Amino acid sequence: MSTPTAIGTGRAGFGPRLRRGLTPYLFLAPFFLTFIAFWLGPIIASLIYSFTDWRGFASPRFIGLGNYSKLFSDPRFWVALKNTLFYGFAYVTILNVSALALALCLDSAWLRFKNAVKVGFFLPVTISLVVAAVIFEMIFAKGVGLLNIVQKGLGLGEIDWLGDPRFSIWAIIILRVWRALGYYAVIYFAGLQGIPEDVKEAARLDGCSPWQVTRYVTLPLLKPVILFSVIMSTIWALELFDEPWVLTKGGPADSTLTIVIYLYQAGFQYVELGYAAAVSYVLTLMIVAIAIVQKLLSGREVA
Amino acid sequence: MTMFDRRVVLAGLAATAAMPAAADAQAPTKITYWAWTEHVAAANAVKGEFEKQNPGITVEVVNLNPFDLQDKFLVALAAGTGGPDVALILQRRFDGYLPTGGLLDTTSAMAPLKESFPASVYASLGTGGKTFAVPYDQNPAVYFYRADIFEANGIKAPLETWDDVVAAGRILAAKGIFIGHVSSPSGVPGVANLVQYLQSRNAQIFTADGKLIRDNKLAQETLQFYFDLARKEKIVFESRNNAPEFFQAIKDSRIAGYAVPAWAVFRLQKEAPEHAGKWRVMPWPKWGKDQPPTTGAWGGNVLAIPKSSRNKEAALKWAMFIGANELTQVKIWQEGHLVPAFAPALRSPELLKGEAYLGGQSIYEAGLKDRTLNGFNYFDWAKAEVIIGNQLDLMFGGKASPAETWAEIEKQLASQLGR
Repeated sequence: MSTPTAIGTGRAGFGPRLRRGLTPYLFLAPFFLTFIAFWLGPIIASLIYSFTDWRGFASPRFIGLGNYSKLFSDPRFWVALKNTLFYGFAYVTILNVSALALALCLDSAWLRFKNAVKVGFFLPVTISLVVAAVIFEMIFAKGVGLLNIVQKGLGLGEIDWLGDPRFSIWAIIILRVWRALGYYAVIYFAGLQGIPEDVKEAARLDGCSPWQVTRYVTLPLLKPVILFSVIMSTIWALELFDEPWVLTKGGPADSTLTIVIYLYQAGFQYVELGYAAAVSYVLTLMIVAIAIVQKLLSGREVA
Repeated sequence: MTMFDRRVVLAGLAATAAMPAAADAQAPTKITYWAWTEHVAAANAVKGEFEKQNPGITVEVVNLNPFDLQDKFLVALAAGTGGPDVALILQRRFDGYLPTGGLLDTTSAMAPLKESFPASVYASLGTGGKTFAVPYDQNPAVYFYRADIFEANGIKAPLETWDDVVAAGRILAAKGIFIGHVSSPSGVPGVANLVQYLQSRNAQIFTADGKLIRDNKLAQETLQFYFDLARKEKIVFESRNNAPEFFQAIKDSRIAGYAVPAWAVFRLQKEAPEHAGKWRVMPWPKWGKDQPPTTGAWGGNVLAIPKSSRNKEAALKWAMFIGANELTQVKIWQEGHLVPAFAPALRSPELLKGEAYLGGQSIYEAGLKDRTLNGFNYFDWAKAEVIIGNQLDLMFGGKASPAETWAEIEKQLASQLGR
């Protein structure tokens, strides 16, 4: 039995200490290995690929900033960028204003059947996109869709929501707001529930009207939640793909082409993987820059 | 443990270790087949027979959106993993898969059957004398029409030429009825509609060796005609492909004609079952009385097998079973009205059977038998479709004339495809 003797000499004290020291790292290792393999690794790899001409089949060929130069000289990229920014601004504004208004209603004393209202608004979040797309294709249908019937009833003209480039992006915004409203309303509602009632009560005792309580007490205290919702919905908006892809495939005439659709076409239809990697990096930088600006604009007290 | 015990245990372990190998030898080979809608129905209808003829092989048929399927398969080829054993590929997108080098060479299986397929279909299967797919179906177009509406308006079918269609369309348009459909806005999905007009007239976009045809007068004239049907004559219904308003107009009997591949009869049946017996079919109109009787298509489909398939042999058997077998090729007609690519199947009496929805008419006999399908040269079609679809949208949006549109299409195809 020579082995126990060997362990018992020289390294006897170091072994258990080392084992004790390593234990937490071993527990953490699965996460970090997965993180490196499936998150950090692809991020670094795609950055490298963005400087290559790579179609997936042969070895990548280094072309420096060639993909970025091609990207910025492609008019379709600028169309996609313009659409994405316009959509993002309109969607984030409408969504957050509507969700906040809905949450304030849910938080108020006068609203009845609150649970039914919550379920009603949250239900679209649970509906699959394909089902939602089928429903909205019928709602938006030219002449025979629900929206057109209502418009005609109100004496307004007929609109080809999905076929007219002037309105198609609005059709996507309507669908996306409908799907996300309940989710963000719940976030705002949770934030409102966290505001101490005594603060609002104190404001009321000081003679504030309900509007003044909302304006000067509730909203400032809700600022971290507003910032969170705006940033999250902005990121989601800039990654817009599913709805226009299912409903319009980016058309008509590229009017609903977004950066992610542009990226998808480059990567998965034309198999220009190096170019697609460059597009994805531009999108990432754009999201990071907008998030930083939003945080700066929202004021220091939030941080 | 005694020596005897040890022997028993070791023997048991050895037997257990050997079991997976024995089980593998007997385990059924499962192959996956990616297809969509009507092709899934056809595959499900024949897979029982295939499994009976090939004991030990089972087929899982996976239903995917056709456009998503093309993209997923292409990525799987590029990645070398994640694909099915057999995939149904749009013929118009097939040339994009060849450079991957990821497709199984089917030359030895296909060469003896070369004469059994239309030359244009066979030629599209590969390059350099090698084939990398198995043909499956063609999508030749016919002209469905409402016999009751035609009769009530004194229109005698079949309409022989496009001039006859326009003349009849004017009569119907005066009563608020459309004689056809144009994809407007077009986008990518609507390009196939225009292509059937181009193809029937042999107005190619690319030469057979992939060069872009410049200053293409025939294609430009065809686009002008397509545009005029909608905007000058105002005799066709304009909508996106498969838009709800289109099918509502069909139901409301505001559309009395539909130039489209044969499989569309199922869509008509589904959307307007109440019109059973009122619809009929005629051949694709000729481009002039002295012009050849041709038709166009939305592009057929072929069966591709990735090299990375772990069951290549079984996959090829399945592909040959559904693509190069009279019995199953007839079945795909019966189940989905998909016109077989395999010539012997076209001689089957099954294709001459009448359809109750069409008042007992056979689609094949009345609409296809006397028409030849020109080949159409598809190159870099994923990108070409986007370019053409966008320009068609701008044209129908009033931003450009058909002549300007075609000039811009040529310009963009040249600069972006380098052909």
